[in-house]
This record gives sequence, C-alpha cells and structure tokens, in this order.
Amino acid sequence: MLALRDVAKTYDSGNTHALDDVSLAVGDGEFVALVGPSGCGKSTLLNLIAGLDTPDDGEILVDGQALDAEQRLARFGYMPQEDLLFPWRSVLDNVSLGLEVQGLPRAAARERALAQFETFGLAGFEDRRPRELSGGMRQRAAFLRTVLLDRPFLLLDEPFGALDAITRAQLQTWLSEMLAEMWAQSRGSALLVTHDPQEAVTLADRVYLMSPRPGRITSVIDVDLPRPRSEAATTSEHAHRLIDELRRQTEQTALAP
Amino acid sequence: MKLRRADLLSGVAAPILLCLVVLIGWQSYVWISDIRPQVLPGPIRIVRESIESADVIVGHVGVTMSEVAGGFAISICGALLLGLLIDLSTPLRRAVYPLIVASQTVPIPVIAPLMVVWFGFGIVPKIIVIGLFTFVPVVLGFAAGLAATERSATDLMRTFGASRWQLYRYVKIPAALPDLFTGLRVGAIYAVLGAIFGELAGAVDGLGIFMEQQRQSFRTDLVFGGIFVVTALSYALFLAVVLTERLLTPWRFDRREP
Ligand SMILES: Nc1ncnc2c1ncn2[C@@H]1O[C@H](COP(=O)(O)OP(=O)(O)OP(=O)(O)O)[C@@H](O)[C@H]1O
Ligand SMILES: [Mg+2]
Repeated sequence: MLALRDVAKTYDSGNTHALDDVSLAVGDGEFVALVGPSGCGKSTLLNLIAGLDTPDDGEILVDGQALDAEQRLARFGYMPQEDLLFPWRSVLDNVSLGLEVQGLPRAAARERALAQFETFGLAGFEDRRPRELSGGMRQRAAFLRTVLLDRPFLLLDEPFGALDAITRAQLQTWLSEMLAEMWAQSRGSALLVTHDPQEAVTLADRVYLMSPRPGRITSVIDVDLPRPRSEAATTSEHAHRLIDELRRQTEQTALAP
Repeated sequence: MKLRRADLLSGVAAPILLCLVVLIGWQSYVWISDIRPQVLPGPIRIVRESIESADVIVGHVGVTMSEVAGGFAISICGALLLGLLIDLSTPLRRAVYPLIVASQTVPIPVIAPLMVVWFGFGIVPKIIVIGLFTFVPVVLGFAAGLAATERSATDLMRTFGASRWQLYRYVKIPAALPDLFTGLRVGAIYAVLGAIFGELAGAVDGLGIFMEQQRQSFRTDLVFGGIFVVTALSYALFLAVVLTERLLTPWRFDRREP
C-alpha cells in the first residue's frame, strides 16, 4: 500500500512549481490512474514515488512506513515514459537487463526473460534490434522488462502515449488481461499515468485528476465497472458517463485561474 | 556488412577516379613543361625510384609505425581513462578542460626539439608528440559521448539497482562509443604525422629522417615517395579504426528489415 501526504516539488531553485501538496493512496491490489494535462507534473510524481528524486515537502509512505528515496528505489517496478530499449542490445538482452543488473548470470537472466516471450507476443524477435519492432511491441518489451523484476507495485508512465489509437486500444485490453492474470497469482498494484480519460476508465479502479502546473489533485472518481473489464463494460453507457465526467472536470481545471 | 553496388561506386570508385585524374594531370604537366625532377618529379618517376629504394623505405616504415603503434595506443589508453574520470568528477572536468584546450595551442615544431633535449633520441619524445596530436580528439569525443547519456536512461538503471560501474558498463560506455570513434578517426589521421614531427626534432631513423635526408641530397622524387607512404599509412590506420568501429558498434550499421 502506497500513500502520499502533501508531497510538493519545485525545480530550478523554486522557480518551477511542479507539484503542490499532492496526497493520494493506492491500496493493495488496486489499479489507480492519474490523469492530467501535459506538463502538470505526472512524471515528476512517479519519479518521486520511485525514489529517483526527493520531494521538497511531504511524505511518501510504503506499507505505512516513510521510506527515503534510496529505499524506495528497490520497491517499485517503474516503466518510464519512453521505452528506453537500448539499440546496442538485442530485444532479449534489453528485456533481461534488469535481471542481469540485479546479479543474475546473463544466461539465467535470458532464460527467465525468454520464458515470457510467447505470452508477451514477442516470440521470434529475441535477437532483433529494438528499432526493428513496432511501437506496440516495443511497449510490450518495456513492460516485460519491468514485470520481470518481480516487484508487486507497478508505476506506469503513459505506456501507450506514443501509439496510434488502434494499437493503443489493443494494448489496453492486453494489459488489463495480463495484470488480471498476474495478480490472480500474486497480488499487485499499479499507478498508471495518462492524459487520456478513456484509458483511465478502461484500466483503473480509481482515477485521480490533476490540475495544470503546479500539479495538485482536484478530484477523485471511482470507476465502478465490473472486472475483468470486457469490451461491453468499457463501452457501456456508464463507462461513457464516467469518461465524460472526467473530460468535463479536466477542461474545468484547465480553465480555472 | 555487404557493400551495395551504389555504395561501392561512390565510396571506392569515385575517390580512386579523382586520384587518377590528378596523377595524370600532374604527370602530363611534368612531361610538357620539362621541369627538372629536383624541383618537381612526376608520379611515374616517384614510384619507380621509390620501388628502387623499397628496402630502405620499409626499414624506416617499421621504425615509424612502431612509434605510431606505441604512441597512439598509450594516447588512447590515457584518453579513455581521463574521459572516464572527467565524467565522474565535475571539479576535475573544470580543472582539466582549459589545459586540454591549451595543449592544442602548443607550437609543436618548437617544443619537440626541447623534448629531445629532455628525453633523448629514443621513442619517448615521439610518443609525447603523437599524444599531443591524438589525445585531445579522443578524450573530447569520449567525454562528450559519456556526458550525452540521457537522464531517463540513468534513472531506469537506478530503479534496477545498478551500481555506478554497471551504469557505465551497460549504458554510458556503449552510448558513448559513436562519439569516441569520431575522436579516434581524427586521431588516426594525425598519428603518423605526429611521429614524423617527433622524428624531425631528433632521431636516427624513421620516415621523417628518411625524407629529410632525401631533401638535403636533392632527391625530391624520394621525398615525395616518403610523403606517399606517410599518406598511405595514415589512411590504413584510419581504415583500421573505421573497421573496428563497425565491429564494436554493429547496431549502427546492420540495417536488417523486420
Ligand atoms: N529535472 C527537471 N528540471 C527542471 N524542471 C523539470 C524537471 N523535470 C520536470 N520539470 C518541469 O516540471 C514540470 C512537470 O514536468 P513533468 O515531466 O512531470 O510533466 P508531465 O505531467 O509528466 O508531462 P507530460 O504529460 O508531457 O509527460 C514541467 O514544467 C517540467 O518542465
Ligand atoms: Mg510525463
């Protein structure tokens, strides 16, 4: 369980006010989405949680304990906004990089990664270079790299932001099914950053809305759609009402002074 | 790494063709103007006389190339080490950069004879002069490549729990290789020239000495022969670097379609 209390962050020695008093919580087994306009501090917030940066103010609690950045680094499965697949490594070596860094011998790391290639729709592309993959495959590879670390709490920074609408919709369904399967075996949680209300409603149990910079939480919406999220559920009347509500509130906060 | 026909034509044939045009023009001028060979020998004479003296030239090539091998290797090792240290320490970078720039303003023909006074006629002054020519492009290229590593890549490695050494091994050094090789190519072009400058300041043999002796005895054809050899050696070294680059950074060259 993750809880943020009044987290604030400024850059450029106080000139850029990125985050202002952000409080939120993600319970065990919960999938929470964070929706906000570009530049409102979503990536900043994930970086703070992941332990890549320290907040100027406020607390970040993991399982009730205030952990410092160094301790948090090892707690979260972090999928950055860009796929960050390195061109000098094959797809397989990219995916197994995290395991290798953690001390697993290269052969064992590759074996563990390889076992998942089929499931992640990457079979046959093991020895290719990342740039030979389609955008959707790159995201799946980056996601597999994150998942292999076996960290129950996932931080996903706009994983589908750079994809076309069709691929994005496919991957949303795919991710939803993958997580349902993974979390059926061992419980996990996720915090997903997106600027797309539709994506948030499709995937999340709860949605936090952020205002433009300085980012703060303006409202919370529960997504009471049944799980697993079938296409019927995510295109239902109720889902559309939730999406519209999110859109309306996003526009409202964008217009507010 | 197959060369396509178009590449072959523009990459190999075109420069050879241009070379031929220049040589033919040169030779024609020598024939037509009947200029004395002590002033300007034609390419045919240069090649003929050089082959005549091939034994002597090969001996000098051996001396010069062992200086180049030693000097360039030491220069590269030093540059790699300093490049790493510069990247690890900002104060060091601030301290060292002005010196690096200053080192390129040293008038080498003036300082080289002094080095002979300090270090004698052995290989040491040559290694230092080769270093003065090649160290800076390599160190600047490597340091620039290391510094250009994206913050987000570093962040990803930190979430993996990577140590500083792992960050360099898995990300920063591979990412810096293209820039490093840009520096190495520049270094390779100047390495042989560095050895010649070192020899001219004081040596008993080597291509620099050979050319100087031939100039003093008015064998302009053999002076040009020496120049041709120096050019060929520099070019060979350059190509060796390019080839190594292809072997060590294959991901930039294999354009396999998915
Ligand atoms: N390291 C940094 N130094 C200075 N300013 C920064 C830094 N990181 C982020 N910022 C600033 O903080 C603000 C929030 O940035 P952030 O990347 O968190 O936004 P975001 O919500 O993720 O945007 P996007 O949707 O475009 O990814 C921006 O104005 C950005 O310029
Ligand atoms: Mg972002």
